[in-house]
Amino acid sequence: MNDQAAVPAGTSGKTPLLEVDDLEVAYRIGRGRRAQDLIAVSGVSFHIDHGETFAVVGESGSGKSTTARAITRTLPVRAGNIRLGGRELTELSGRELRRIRSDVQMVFQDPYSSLNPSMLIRDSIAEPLRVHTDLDSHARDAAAHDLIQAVGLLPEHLNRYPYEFSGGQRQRIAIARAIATSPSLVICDEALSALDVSTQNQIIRLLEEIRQTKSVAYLFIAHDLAVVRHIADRVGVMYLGRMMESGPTERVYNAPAHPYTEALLSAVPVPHPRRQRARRRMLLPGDVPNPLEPPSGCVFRTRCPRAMDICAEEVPMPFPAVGGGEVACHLHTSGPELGGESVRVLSTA
Amino acid sequence: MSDSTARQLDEASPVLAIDGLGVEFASEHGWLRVLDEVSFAVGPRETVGLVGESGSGKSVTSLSVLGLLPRRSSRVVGDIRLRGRELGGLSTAELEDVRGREIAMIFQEPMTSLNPAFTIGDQIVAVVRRHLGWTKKQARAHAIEMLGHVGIPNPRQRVSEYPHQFSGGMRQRAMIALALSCRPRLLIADEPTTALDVTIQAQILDLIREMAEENDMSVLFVTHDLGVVADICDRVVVMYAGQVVEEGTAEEVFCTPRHPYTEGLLRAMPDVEDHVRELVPIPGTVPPPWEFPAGCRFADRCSYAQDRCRQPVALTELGPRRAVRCHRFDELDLEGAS
Repeated sequence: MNDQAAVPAGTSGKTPLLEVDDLEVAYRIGRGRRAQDLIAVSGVSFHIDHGETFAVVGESGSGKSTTARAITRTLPVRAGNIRLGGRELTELSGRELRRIRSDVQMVFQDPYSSLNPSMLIRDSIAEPLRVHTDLDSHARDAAAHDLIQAVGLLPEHLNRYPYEFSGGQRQRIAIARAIATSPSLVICDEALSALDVSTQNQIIRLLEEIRQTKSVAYLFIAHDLAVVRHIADRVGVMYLGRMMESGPTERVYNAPAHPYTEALLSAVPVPHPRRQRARRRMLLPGDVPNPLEPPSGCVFRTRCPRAMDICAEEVPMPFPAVGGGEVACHLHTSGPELGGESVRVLSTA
Repeated sequence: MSDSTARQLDEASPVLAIDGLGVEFASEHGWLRVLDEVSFAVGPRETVGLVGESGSGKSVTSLSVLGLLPRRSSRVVGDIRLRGRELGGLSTAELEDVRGREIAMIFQEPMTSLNPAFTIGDQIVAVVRRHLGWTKKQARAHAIEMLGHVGIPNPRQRVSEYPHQFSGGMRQRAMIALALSCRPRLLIADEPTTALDVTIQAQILDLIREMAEENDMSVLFVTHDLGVVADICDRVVVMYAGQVVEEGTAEEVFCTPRHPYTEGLLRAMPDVEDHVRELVPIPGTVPPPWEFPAGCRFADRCSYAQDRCRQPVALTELGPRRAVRCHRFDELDLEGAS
């Protein structure tokens, strides 16, 4: 396998920071003869450019967190490619993998579980530097001093323990730790979900500031579609382990190309009584199917109000969406036509 | 009381009236006041949203209504009246007659109300027999009817299943079936959709709305999500640091807020339909009860604060059931949701 990226996927013609190609991740459920494979992620492709914010949204069981974990190689990848700066990650091991990991850091939903409760903040923040760099303890201390101020806290906070901080402050500490090794990609897995609105916005501002000063790119894993609209440049929508559609945030929100995206967006209530009560919800019947027995063809078809015969027979392939990005839905290739054109744009309301 | 006067009382007077509610918790620093002079009412067939961030006191308020605060380590003052009847002086046994019969509660996590060791049907049967004194057969038929009512497919079969056999959304529905099985007058819903995916949240909000309409039931809806409030609530009570800071209809509170904290929440709240408006954070965090300021509790975070805001401030009535707790309410021109 080449060290250099063979095909640039970005529109700019430059090599994207991260390229995920046809990713498949499976969990083994049960043992012995009863063992079964749960395909948690299948055929997922996307890319993230340098300094860009890409969000993956979806409901529980969509495979969004599994995708994040596969990128950090904390889960085995069954098939597909993951390239960081053109370098294939799926084949790395040992020291090489560790080096790559210093370039991809994570921030989780609950900072309390990712910070060691018996470790001083100073040591928690400096730990990635101890593992990934040759800096001596003086240099690491100096770095921790800078980092804690970069996230809006004070140097005196370095000598405290995690329990002494509020949720928002702990998330700041987790961010300081994540950017310690100057990564080019930070994966935020529901990093804003546990915070109150007022604190959530403080952290959004901080992340934006860090993006500008440190030119880091973000992969945001989130279920809150309203927040994502405000922070992401591009967005991907997952359902039951597959990417339903992806594209520039404004295109996806204004003109969703996939019926699932449309339903998802219509279900998010807006904070305005008159506007909210005038909105029309596209209600999805039932629940997400059992991932051990995913529906044939399109995995969304059992809940899709626009399902056709072909949807049970063929897995829809990614197709260019009007206005940018891609959509995996038969409506765009085999759906009804109007005036010789496929009825592609479902709703622009 | 004759039947007709009882009915008149029903029509006019609130289902729930909270007046001057204060709660103190025992702590290492002595008694700590976590709720202060909380007053509001829930009218017949009304859905009232109790809104605030963590630490605002909204859950303590709803637990006091149910008499579920720990008796030894908490002190409660003020009146809580359910259809005119004071709940404060009731014995544990009397309270148990009220809970489940007249007031029911649903939570974020359905397993706080469902017992994993019993089938869904047995749990509904037990509640119905306890409160309505029905026979086992009647109660079981009712359980099946309730499960069907809340949209659980195959209720005849699922009535004999255990909670772990239900998916998250179905478990929430089962909890609602259990809570509504005795047709309570008041449902207290404490963040019932917070842990759910949005498409399931939409289903559950519709279900609560339908059930409230069908059963002439009032709802006290505790949430931090202003989108959910805009969807389901007729009225809103905004809480901050253990006090009510603003009250009004949903339209009033969202479109013409009178308290700077309400304005702050609205400006901080992302909107899935609007990407142009900049999100403005409220600086700082909600103080813990031992650090509640002596004056206006929001003053430290308020961009409109002046010297006099360091003085305590009372809730001012602006009209019938429209109130605000702010020194400067009549000089400020605050921005509402657009």
